[in-house]
Amino acid sequence: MKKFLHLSLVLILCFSLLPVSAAEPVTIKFWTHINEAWNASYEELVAEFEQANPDIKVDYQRFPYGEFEAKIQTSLMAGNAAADVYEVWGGWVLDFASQGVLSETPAKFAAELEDDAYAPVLGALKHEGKYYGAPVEFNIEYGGMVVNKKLYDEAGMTYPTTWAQLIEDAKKVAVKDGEVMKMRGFGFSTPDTLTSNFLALILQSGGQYLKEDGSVDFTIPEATAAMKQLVAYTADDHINNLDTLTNQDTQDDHMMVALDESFGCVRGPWVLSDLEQSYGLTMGVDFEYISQPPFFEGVEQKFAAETGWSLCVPKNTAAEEAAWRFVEFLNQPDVLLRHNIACAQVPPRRSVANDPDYIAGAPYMLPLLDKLQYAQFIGPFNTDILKDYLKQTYMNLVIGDHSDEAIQDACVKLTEDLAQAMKIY
Amino acid sequence: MKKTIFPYVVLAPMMLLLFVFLVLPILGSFVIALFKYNPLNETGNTFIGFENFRRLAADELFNISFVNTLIYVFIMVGINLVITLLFAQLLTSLSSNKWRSLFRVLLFMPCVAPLAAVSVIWSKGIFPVKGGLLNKLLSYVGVAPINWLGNPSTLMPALLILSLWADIGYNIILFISGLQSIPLDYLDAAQIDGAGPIRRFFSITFPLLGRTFSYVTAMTLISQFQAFAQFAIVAPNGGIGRRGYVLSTYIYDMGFRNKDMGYASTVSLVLFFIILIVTLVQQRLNRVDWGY
Repeated sequence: MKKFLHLSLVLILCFSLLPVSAAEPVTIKFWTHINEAWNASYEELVAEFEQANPDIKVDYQRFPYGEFEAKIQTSLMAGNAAADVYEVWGGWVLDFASQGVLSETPAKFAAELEDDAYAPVLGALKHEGKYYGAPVEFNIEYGGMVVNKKLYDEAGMTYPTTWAQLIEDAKKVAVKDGEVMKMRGFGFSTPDTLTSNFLALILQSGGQYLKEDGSVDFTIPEATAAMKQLVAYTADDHINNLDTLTNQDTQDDHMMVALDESFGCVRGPWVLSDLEQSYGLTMGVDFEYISQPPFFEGVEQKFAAETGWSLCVPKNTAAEEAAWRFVEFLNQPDVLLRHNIACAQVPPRRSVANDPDYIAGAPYMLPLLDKLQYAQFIGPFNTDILKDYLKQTYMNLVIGDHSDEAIQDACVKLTEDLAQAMKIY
Repeated sequence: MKKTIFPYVVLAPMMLLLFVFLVLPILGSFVIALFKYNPLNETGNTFIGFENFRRLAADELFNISFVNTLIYVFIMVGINLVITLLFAQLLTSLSSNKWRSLFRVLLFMPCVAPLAAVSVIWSKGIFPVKGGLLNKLLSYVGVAPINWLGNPSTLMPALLILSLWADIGYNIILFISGLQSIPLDYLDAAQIDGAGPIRRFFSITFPLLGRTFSYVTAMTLISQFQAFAQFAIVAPNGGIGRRGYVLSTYIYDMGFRNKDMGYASTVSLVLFFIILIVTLVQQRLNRVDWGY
């Protein structure tokens, strides 16, 4: 008995001296939408973060873009958030932040962003003086053009350096046969680019569509003139048609360039990786990314930009601290630099945009970088609604009466409809 | 005692499921429609009474989607019933079992595919003005390309074609079942009396198909009033001229894009009552009070 007791005591002592097993790492769920290049970059960064932070594991999940907003919303409605870090489109953040479901950006991090980030990228993340996320890109759908190098070479044409030349060339090369647009001269009618070009044309004409209370006014002369100009390009000059608006899930302007059905289009740089990865094209051989000329010579190339993709942490996550550590990691300038280059994104932070390594890694961004200083935040509202109503107004004018009177009436109605439909934050 | 309790015990789980996932949400909609409601907002949802209902009257988009829904449903259901009954009659009259089974499978296959996937295929591969299958087939008979989704006058017909293709199989099977349950004696007697095939169909077959017809009509009406996938995918935000904007897509936009669940509930209640009234009227008109 004594021997047994002694043996037991020795065994207990031995076990108590064994090292305590390491605490289980915290697992955070990270949701983004599906984009091949972006997803690949995030996967690399997730691995890098996990290596540097062995106490945190990241479960990275991605979803089709079409259902992503609804998915985020329904997951935030649940008592326990389904993810700990969401990649959220800026316009959606306004809706979520105002409902108190997002975690506030840590003060030190917010101050750093305010100091370094461009104003438009923070616009939709700010609610009642506080920030509720961190931007991962400067969303820009104006200022850069994808051009089909092969078509230009075959036609013996040089890339346009003025707006007048661009339109002139577009009229020359566009071919429309009945309902079939065989060749587009210049594409600008996706919901994103139609909106960005419309607003840019207003601003460069000396107008300001954004009122002090955050609502929009398209009854100003510059707005009706801008609408008239853009409608005429499609309805009268036939440099493109409405397919990219009506079949928007099947056709995009840059897809038409990839399929050799368009000489060029205005589009954000995110399409460049799409052209290379999804269409197997090569920049410099099949296509180029060049500067979009201003609408008028000698004016500042002002434009409006919405807050793009950002990272947000829900308020009801059980791993808030770990989630913000992950977000701050992704937002470190050196990490952001690599991510923005890999994803063909414009950096949201000045320090990254001006970094020689960024320019060396993404020289095709040069046409855009000089223009960033002229950007204003699009406005404190859900931009999906603005784009939808603007698109419908534009389409109705193109296929119907687009006399001066009709355009004036349409702009008045657009302003009134948006005042009803859009919540201003 | 055991005999009387047993059916209730067996039915209880399903009744509970229906109550929790069907009845309660409908009752919830009634309540939510009286609020300015955002489910993300735990404390700030305000009671506004019938304000959401008053808003409907002046809502242009609601009116557009309401009219489009009625147009779509009545044309869709009308054509659907004619086509499916015709096909069912033709298949029933086939003497070969092999051919009958083959056509039944072919006609039913579109029903098996998820409507969302079907809608994507139609919008990417069949409707496109250039290279789309539909225009290609039409070109063989000398018809110039039609911009199905880019023309306000062809958008709704395009959606009707897609919906019919995806939906007729199910009703054909139901009608075949109904036709095969009609005793042949009546048809034989009519034939002996000299009635031709068309006379026999309208005087004997169609009346005796009453219950099946009533059921198929009701189910088709209910399902088509709630049609969503094809509209959301083929005509996002209603497409050109908002000709493809229906109540279901409007409810979705109000709820998930505008984050106004209170108003979305209001519109969904309107849809609920429309379906209820139309179905009650239809059931009354197609009432069958005899049997065989």
